[in-house]
Amino acid sequence: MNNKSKKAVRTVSGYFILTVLAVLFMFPLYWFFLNSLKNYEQFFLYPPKFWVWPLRFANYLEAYRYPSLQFGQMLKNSVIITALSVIGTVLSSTIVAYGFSRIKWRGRDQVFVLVILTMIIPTEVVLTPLYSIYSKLHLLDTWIPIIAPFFFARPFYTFMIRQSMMGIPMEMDESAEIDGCNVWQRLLYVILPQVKPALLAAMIMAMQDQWNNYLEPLIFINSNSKQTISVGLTFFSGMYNIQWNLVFAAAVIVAMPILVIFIFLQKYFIQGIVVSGVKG
Amino acid sequence: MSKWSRKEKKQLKTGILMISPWLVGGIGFTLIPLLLAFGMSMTNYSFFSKPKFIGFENYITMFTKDPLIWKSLGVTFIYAIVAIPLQLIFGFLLANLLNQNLKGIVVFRTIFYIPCLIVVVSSSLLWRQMLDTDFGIFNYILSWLGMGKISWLSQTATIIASAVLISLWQSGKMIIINLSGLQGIPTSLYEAADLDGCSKLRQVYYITLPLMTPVLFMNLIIGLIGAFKTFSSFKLLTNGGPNNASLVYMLHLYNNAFVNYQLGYANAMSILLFVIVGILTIWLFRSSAKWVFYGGE
Amino acid sequence: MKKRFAALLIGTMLVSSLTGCTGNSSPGTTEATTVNESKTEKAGGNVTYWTWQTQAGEAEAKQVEYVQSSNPNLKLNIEYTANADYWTKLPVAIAGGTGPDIYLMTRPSFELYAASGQMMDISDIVANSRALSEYMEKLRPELQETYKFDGVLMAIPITVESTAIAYNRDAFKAAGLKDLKEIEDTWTWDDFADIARQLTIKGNSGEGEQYGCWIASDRIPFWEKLWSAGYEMFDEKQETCLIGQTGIVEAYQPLVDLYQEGMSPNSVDVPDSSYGDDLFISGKIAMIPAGIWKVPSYANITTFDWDVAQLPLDPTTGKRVSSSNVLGLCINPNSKNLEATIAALEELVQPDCMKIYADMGVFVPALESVRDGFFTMDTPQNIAAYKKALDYVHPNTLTQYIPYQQFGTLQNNALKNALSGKMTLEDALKEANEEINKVMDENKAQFNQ
Repeated sequence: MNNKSKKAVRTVSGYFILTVLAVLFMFPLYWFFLNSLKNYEQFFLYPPKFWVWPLRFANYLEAYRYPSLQFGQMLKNSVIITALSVIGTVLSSTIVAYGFSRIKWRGRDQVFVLVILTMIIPTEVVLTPLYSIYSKLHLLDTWIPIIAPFFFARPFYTFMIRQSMMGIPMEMDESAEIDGCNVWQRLLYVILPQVKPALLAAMIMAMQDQWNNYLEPLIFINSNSKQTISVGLTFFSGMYNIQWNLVFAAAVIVAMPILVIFIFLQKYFIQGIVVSGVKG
Repeated sequence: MSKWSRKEKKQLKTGILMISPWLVGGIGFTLIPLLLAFGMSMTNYSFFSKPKFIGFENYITMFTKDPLIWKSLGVTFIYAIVAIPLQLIFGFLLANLLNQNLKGIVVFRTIFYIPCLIVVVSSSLLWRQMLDTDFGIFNYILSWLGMGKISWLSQTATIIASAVLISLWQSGKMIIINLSGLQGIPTSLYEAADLDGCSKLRQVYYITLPLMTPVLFMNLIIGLIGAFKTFSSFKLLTNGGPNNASLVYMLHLYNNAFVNYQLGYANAMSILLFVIVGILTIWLFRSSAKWVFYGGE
Repeated sequence: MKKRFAALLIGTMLVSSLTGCTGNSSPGTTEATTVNESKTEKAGGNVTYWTWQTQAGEAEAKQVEYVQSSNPNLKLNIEYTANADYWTKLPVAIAGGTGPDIYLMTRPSFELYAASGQMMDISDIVANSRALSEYMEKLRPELQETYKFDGVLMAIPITVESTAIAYNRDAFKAAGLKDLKEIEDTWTWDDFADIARQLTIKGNSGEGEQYGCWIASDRIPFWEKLWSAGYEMFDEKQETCLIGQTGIVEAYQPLVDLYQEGMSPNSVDVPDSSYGDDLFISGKIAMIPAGIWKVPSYANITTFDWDVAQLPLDPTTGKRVSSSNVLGLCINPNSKNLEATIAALEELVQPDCMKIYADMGVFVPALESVRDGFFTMDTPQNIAAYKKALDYVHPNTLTQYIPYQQFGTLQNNALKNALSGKMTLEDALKEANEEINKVMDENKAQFNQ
């Protein structure tokens, strides 16, 4: 076979596998969106229908206007908190990752294992001690307990960026040093451009983690007006029953902002960033 | 007496300076609470009483008087053994598929990423509904195919399978990480291999895999920690039931802390978890020297 | 003019002598809580109120309106938390020295929170407040007593519940049976079993299947049955659990048998107790024990005709008892603005404010005079069954020595084991009894250390 038809086969098979998997992935998603358009009784139909009519778009309005839920306010809160957390991640995780990967200092790799170990600790464990600490500092019912960790290089994102940085040959640093770049300049002009995909991934990850973060806002924030929307979603699960249709409608609304941002950031994931060698 | 050269000293200073955010954060948000938690684990701090120091009694109770500890550890281990390899393989394969230079690849990437955007509260409700024995769509499809109903959420094996399935469905995060790792590999390497007449498969084996080992290693660590910390999906799917069939360790911990209000005991449980996962992690790190290849060194 | 002034003076003196005479009153309460003709002395400030009733948002908003319009100095903030998280957040907040000023309490958890110092002794506060003491006096004796711990009043009851049997009228018609509410005054659990057998239709799996009843491991109707038969779950001092006793086993055994005959769908493997409601709403169950709070969600039913009937009588004692969750309002000991909190409470217990719950069909107020609004709804027709049931309620009392949820889990697991046939009911209940006593002993030791 000549090159052209080889390429064609590869393209078709690529599409094929992707499509099959995509359909499987999409099915629960389809169900998710369909649920948000049902009325309450339709959740208990047997046999289940793959389609319902009429579509109840009023669910979205009803969910948004749910009396005990300050939907708009909580949505705003989530946006601000998430944005700040992403900024914090970019600032702190890159610097710390740099310190753990591009500078040779004694004990560096052993200390890094400690970074990993701190990732193990589940939030539930440190929750009550942290609560007492924040309580004494009068920081409860503010956003600081929730945002602060992101400004102090959360291990996960730091780990990710560090791994990516470890993949860059040290010669680049060295030649930049010879050229007269100091540590910070090396970080900014040499290393950072090369870890763009990892940095981007870390930003997306931080955005998603904070958007969906549930336990910390629940415990540290008492006022509904300062609460995040991820906690707000639980308001549809009453003591005795769940308002199925409203929960899903609300979840769809909540998923939208991040989805839009993700699609927008997609174009920065360019295929094959060419790193051909030592920069001149 | 100076064992360290001037340069080393300077490197050390710079290094510490750069990682200072983590040092402060790590100590403040993690180390101190962890020590406090350890301290609490040596008391019988609960809703019912002021804390009283009881030494290691909680730990002894854990190992001798609480059968649910072993049960929950067992369920968690099984989940970990099943989930981690599947997540690694699935994440890697899918990232490779999504790394192709096909038109419209953006659409596919979005489709595979969206599920992880759905807050765990609603995704668990979604799957609970789909896996429902009587009303669920899964069993309905099975009945089309002439197969009987499966009680998805009533036995340990099927509940774990469901939880693994959900985690794979929501593995968009790891896929993105792998994708960014793949994109860090210079295309020039692939081009050179093409010129040499290397088949695609061999390219994956000789180029992609080795260069991806740092990222894969991270997947492994994250997967390990995540599997042992798994909580929300099990809580919202079955709340550990029926009759503790799907009680994962963190759920047992949560119940002890916030349902039975025995915080001292719960803290002891968390210290145990920390020790177990810590040992596994350190072991993985040690072994990583043998198979992880960092391009920079 | 002089006469009127004198009357006013005498009136004020009388009232202040009433409030001043009760001995040791909490600081600052006497002035603030005396109800003046002139409204200018009402205490003001921010008052935070915690509740898990997220579905009652509209009603609560109206209550806030009422409170703030009758006392413009007050600002009442209602903060919601989902039920599952409420019982995590509340103790953490109070233990941490913060938390709300007023919070909602459910009866089964009362003893534990009272014994652990999570709420304020309000007997003096109520005695010093005309509005609050008037409110308490209008309540039935059992409601007046129910939120007392060691004889001391700790919370103000605000709503009550009752239970009945909801049923599918179309299913009854189709089987040629009398409509259930016609026999509701005399039917017993034996009749219940007979009817359930007649209404269970086994088709091939899928369509056409119908079950006579729903039997699950929940407190309803377990608590109904054992109380109707004249037994209690704990001894008088609430220090020992007694659910394994023979009387209780005998009372519940008929339902276990009925379940094992196949008259109820599988309730053991389901993830949630609300599953029964889902099945009822989809028309698969003919009869289901239903608390009054189910009425709003059953109101969504459009595909068949449904109604409610009073609980069956116990065949041996001829009595029936409905479990009742009495919700109450507690004051946080950490409350920083006690005067305002008390003022807010005084407005909340006003008949016009309590009436809002009834009129909006959200809760049944503890105050009898304003209940009628709740029972005027069209569906179900026989909503009066719940009203009549309020005459034979037993408040859901537990004990301070085991948290409600922990008790519930142990009870549920035991009943599930019995229903599924894994253990006999006797063994299951005895085992649960032992486990519960173990927990209680440990907790007792912690209390007393």
